[in-house]
Amino acid sequence: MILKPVRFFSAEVLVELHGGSPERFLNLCAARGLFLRKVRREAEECQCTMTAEEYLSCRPMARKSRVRLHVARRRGLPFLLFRYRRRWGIPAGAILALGILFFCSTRLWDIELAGGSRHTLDQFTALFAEYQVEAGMPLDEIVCGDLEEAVRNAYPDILWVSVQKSGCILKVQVRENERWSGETEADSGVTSASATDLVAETDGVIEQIVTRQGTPLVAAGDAVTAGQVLVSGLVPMEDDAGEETGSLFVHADADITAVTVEEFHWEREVTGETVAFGAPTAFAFSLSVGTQRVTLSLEEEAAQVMLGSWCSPKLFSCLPLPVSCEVRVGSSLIYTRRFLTEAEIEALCQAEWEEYTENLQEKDVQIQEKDVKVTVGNLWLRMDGTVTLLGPIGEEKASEEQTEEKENE
Amino acid sequence: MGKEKSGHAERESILLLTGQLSLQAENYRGILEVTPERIVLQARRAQIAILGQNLQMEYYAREELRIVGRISRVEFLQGGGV
Repeated sequence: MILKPVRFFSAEVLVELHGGSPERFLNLCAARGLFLRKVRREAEECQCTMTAEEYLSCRPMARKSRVRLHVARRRGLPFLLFRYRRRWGIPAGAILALGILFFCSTRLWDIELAGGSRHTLDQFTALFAEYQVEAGMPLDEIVCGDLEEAVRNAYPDILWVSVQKSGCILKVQVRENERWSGETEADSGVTSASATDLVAETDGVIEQIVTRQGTPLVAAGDAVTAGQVLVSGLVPMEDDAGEETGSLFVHADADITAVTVEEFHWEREVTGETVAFGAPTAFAFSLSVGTQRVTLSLEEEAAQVMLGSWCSPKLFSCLPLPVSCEVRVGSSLIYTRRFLTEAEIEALCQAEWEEYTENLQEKDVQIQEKDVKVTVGNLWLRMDGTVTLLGPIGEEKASEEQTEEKENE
Repeated sequence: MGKEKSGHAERESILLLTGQLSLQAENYRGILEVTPERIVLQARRAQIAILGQNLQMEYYAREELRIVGRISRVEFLQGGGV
């Protein structure tokens, strides 16, 4: 049995048998080894399906059985090609489309970013452009290891980066250092070769101190002021007799917890402003092919705001097409100012307080007491008060003793 | 005697009926009649009539054939054959 999809590639004909003895014709064909399909009687004539080659060879049997053969239908790829033999544009277009598809599949067309929040896709795209990696370039010329190193060098706050090619898309995955303060060694003056002290950044009372490296200058229960050295990076060296023979400069390292009092202050206007979009007054359409973009706009300069969305079609999930379009609609903004309701004021204060406490939790700071009051005036809404916190204290600073020694030298 | 009997058995027609939907036949000599209600095959000793509705032969070759449709009855008719 030939499967139906396979039969499409062979030429088949539906033959009608008129007059004579159709049964004898069928027997003669079977005896000759022909394979007949869908044999049935329709009204006065018999029908059967056979291949074109078998049809050409069954004429002697038709003559013997006095049957007239009539081809009612032709099926199969050979007949289809013959029917459209003059329409060369169809196969040419199909070949051209396949060629374009193949060409597109060997090029880079999109960059995707996953993970991280401080760095945008545009930043990575601009960084890769410096290394001649941009849309339209051959995928074979992209070295993922070089791009990963470039990202690490450009953004020191990124802990881990992975650049992979997935089809025609360059997928960048990053993991950022969530506790990154933005300071590098050059900014803070603290290098791996210099000694550092741990200095209190605010006033407080030491709750607990566990020193790993350095000389502790405070103990639990001591009151400290901002700028006071808590753990010194100067470690005196003593001989067996207990006499000081020299000193060693180290990076002071300790877990210091202190109780501090912080002022909390937040204010905003007691009126709220809502923004609504007016009637559309502008229109813009952009078509992007590779790195080239064409924009048609109508009254775009007069609009206060333009909103739109890009459409980047993909043939498959990993094969984005090098064509994308954007439609933007512009309108004016209508501002409306009104006084906040009690519920809105309460919600705003609650949201602000939750954000404050979340920030503290991220730094492992606990709130021991709070004395914050909400004041609603005619124009201003204020939250004022003090908050008693229990959390880590101490920041690294270049050791003053080492700095003095270097200056004396 | 035994050899003759086993030889006769090998040349007997074989019918494989699948419910009422299809019938597959082997060891036949030819077809005598084809209509939507009746298809008659010539077997070695007798004629086999397959009766039903919308009968047609899905394929017909020298060694086997297959009849599909709604088969209601299969009859063996005496006469014909060797």
